[in-house]
Amino acid sequence: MRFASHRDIARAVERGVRRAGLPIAYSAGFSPHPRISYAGGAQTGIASEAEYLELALTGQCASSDVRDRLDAALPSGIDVIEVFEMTSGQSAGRLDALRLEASDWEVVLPGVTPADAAREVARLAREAVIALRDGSVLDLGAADRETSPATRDDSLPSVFAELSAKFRAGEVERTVSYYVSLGNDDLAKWTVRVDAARCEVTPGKPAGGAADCVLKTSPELFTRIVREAYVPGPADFLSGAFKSNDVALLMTFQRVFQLDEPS
Amino acid sequence: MPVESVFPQLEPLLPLVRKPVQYVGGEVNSTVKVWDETDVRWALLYPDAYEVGLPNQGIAILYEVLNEQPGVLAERTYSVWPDLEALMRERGVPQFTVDAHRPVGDFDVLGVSFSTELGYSNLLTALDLAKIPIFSSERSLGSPLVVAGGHAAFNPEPLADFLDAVVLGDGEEAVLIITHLIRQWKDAGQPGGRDGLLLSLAATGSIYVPRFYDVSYHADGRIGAVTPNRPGVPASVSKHTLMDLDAWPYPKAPVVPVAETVHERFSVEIFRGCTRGCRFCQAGMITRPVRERSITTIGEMVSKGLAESGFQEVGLLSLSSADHSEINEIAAGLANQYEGTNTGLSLPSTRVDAFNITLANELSRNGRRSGLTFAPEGGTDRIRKVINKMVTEEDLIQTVSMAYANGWRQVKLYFMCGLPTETDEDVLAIARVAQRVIKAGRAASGRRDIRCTVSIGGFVPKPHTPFQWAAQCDHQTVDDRLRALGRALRADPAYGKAIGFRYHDGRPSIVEGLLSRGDRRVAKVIRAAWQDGARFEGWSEHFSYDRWERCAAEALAADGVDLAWYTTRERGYGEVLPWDHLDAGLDRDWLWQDWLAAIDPAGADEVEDCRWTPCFECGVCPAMGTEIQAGPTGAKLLPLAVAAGRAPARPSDTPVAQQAAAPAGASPGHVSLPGGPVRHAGTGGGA
Repeated sequence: MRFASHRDIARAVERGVRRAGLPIAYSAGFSPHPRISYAGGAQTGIASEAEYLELALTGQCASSDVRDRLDAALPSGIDVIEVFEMTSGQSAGRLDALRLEASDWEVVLPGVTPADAAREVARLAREAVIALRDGSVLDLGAADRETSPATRDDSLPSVFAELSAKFRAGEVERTVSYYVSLGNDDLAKWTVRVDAARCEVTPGKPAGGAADCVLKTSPELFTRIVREAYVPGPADFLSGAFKSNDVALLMTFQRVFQLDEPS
Repeated sequence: MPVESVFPQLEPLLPLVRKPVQYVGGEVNSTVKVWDETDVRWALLYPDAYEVGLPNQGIAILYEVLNEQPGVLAERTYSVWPDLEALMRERGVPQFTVDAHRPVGDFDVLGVSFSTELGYSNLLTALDLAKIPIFSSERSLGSPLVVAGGHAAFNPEPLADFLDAVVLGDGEEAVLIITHLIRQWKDAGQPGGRDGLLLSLAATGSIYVPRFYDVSYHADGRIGAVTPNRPGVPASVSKHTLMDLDAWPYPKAPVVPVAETVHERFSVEIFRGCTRGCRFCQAGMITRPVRERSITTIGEMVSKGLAESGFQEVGLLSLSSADHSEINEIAAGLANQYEGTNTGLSLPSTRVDAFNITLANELSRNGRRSGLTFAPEGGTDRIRKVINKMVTEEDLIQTVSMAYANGWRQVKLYFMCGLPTETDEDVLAIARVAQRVIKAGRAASGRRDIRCTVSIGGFVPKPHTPFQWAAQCDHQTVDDRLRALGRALRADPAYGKAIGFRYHDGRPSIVEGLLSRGDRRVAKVIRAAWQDGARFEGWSEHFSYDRWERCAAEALAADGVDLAWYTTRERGYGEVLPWDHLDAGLDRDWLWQDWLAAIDPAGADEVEDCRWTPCFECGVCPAMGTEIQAGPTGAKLLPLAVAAGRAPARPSDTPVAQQAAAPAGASPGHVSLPGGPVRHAGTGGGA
């Protein structure tokens, strides 16, 4: 289940609730949704020993009965450990009543010896202290240049975070907007705006739908462009693996984000 | 000998790939059996991504049919995306099933379901990753039997070198026959080796073994003859037809994915086959005759399927769902039964008439009325007569006016470009139709914010249809017509924003045309394209026309034929077509007469539906020993005794409708009517 996203889990829970035949309440409105809310939620790729969610039911059910029925109805890998009723004082939708304050993490690093891991943690701790002294907070993503591919986050948000970290000021005079489309999924569409001083990366299509330059490729190729300074060649353009409507602005993009030199 | 799971080798790769959840299995209703307690083991491959393959009805049905058998094990496998493929090659991880992560190469049978020809290259990837030799002739006793089925396997000749056997038609009974013959052969100590088994399959007369046939060619490239090359092999192989859908109520408990997939609903096939006689439609020709599932079985399947899956939407599938003889009773019955439970009902593949609107209204009741889809397919009455789509422009305008008047806001219209005899005018006329639709809709609804979307793609002539002889329109002409249509649609500012335009360019259709009507020589093109990196041809980000054009030119050079020869060339009556020895039941002369009727310069002749008019002698019923099975039965959706005496033993036996008390103020069931006609995709049954 650690490979399931939060949305995957939410869908599985909705179906589990229906399979279990629990009298779930629905939100009012045009497209009613089952009233299920979550506290936190582990990131994709991270296993979790306990997740918390709240169900709004339309009738009284015994907690043990809800637990057994829901547990039987969910896919293997999601077990219902405990169910308790919210008291009337805890108004519905207040999961924070549970006071989740901290979580324990276990990080498994295959192929890394305990000594190497300890050294690395010590290095990061030192950098974190230095950062705090200087009034900032250590950005682990940026600090750890040696991250091995095996532990690297390949999600688009992290790729775009890396992209914006590479921004170099003073490369353009006016504001230039880029629309980066990496697939049909809404989550695969990003907007990047740069001017002389700063860059702004936002998920989704550009406001108004238009950008100065449209860049269309696969997430894999884009990741290579950002991380490995891969320069799309004629073959990529001809095969349609990489498309753009403005090659000059594309070169500007490479310059602004220093993508012509390997990091 | 138990077979080890490859999950320990796969797991470290999963954090490195996109959407890893699709590879982990463990879904509700998936089945894992003990390897050593079974003797016939099937791996079922859908040669596309998990998100497309999981909802496929054909695989879902066969998975249950096989796993219900004692001693039989069936697991699912899907195409892995290129990111995982590269890692699997690097680390030596073989193609695996998602159920128990067993290596596909260890199974007895690899069953492949083709809904579209664009899955052919993915078969080669799966075979290669499974370490199964891609050529049938190079496989040894230890390799799985590679068996294909599904609509796109009705002309398996381009894949002949890669397949051991092919099933035409409905798969439910066929997989059991194959299972029986494999078991018999294994129990007897594998007499005759691999060929011994294949011979027993071929001897049934309804399982095609390509390598038991030789193909000769004329000097001009046309086929001379296709002949069996050993005794005991029939000259012609016929399709399977399942004659009692009520006796096969599958899927009963479909696998519920954790990953997001293209259809998130419980689908029940309300009938199989279609006799409307649309001349372009391969599905309608190869699935004859019409066999309805009874209203009572449909009611039971929906009730059980929802309880077992937890899905929130029901899809009533078929090639033209409004044609079920008791569709009114089914729609009203389901709408009543699930009122207040937030269960959506959808009816894909509907036709253009007023009845359809009444039905859509019934399914949506108090829910939102967003969009309706119709498929007039052609822009003028003339071209619609050519394709035997008997809808006039007046029918269409009346139907959409009624839809808009009933509160529907958006109408989607499906068309094809490049149909036989089509002129520029036939395509440009679509713009005029769309503008009339908006005008009529504004008048009928009294609102200006209504919309109409025109969706259009290139037509591909398919085997076993009257258009199997047609010249496919070249992609330049298709693209020119689509561009002209786009300009015409935008020309009048009075309609500008009210009309949407979506199209597929003409080039992928040419490759689909090559694979659809190709012969055994096309195998070389598929292999070359695959070696050059062809994968996931149905996905525009992976498809490369230039690759296919180049590989076709190189691979076919020695044969004196080329891409155009296979696609844009019209065939004559006397030419042996690559699939002539494969019998879908259709009388060849009937198809030819229908083709001539379509292209008659004096105007096309129409053919009625044989459910309501006398038989037109397409040949299927006598050839296959079948008959039309259609109601009305007069029965009820749920038998009264069952409805009254429902006392659940355990929660999951109880229909969702009975349990989820309607919350005050919540609106009852919503409806959506997505999708247009089922074109090339199978609605199930085929292996």
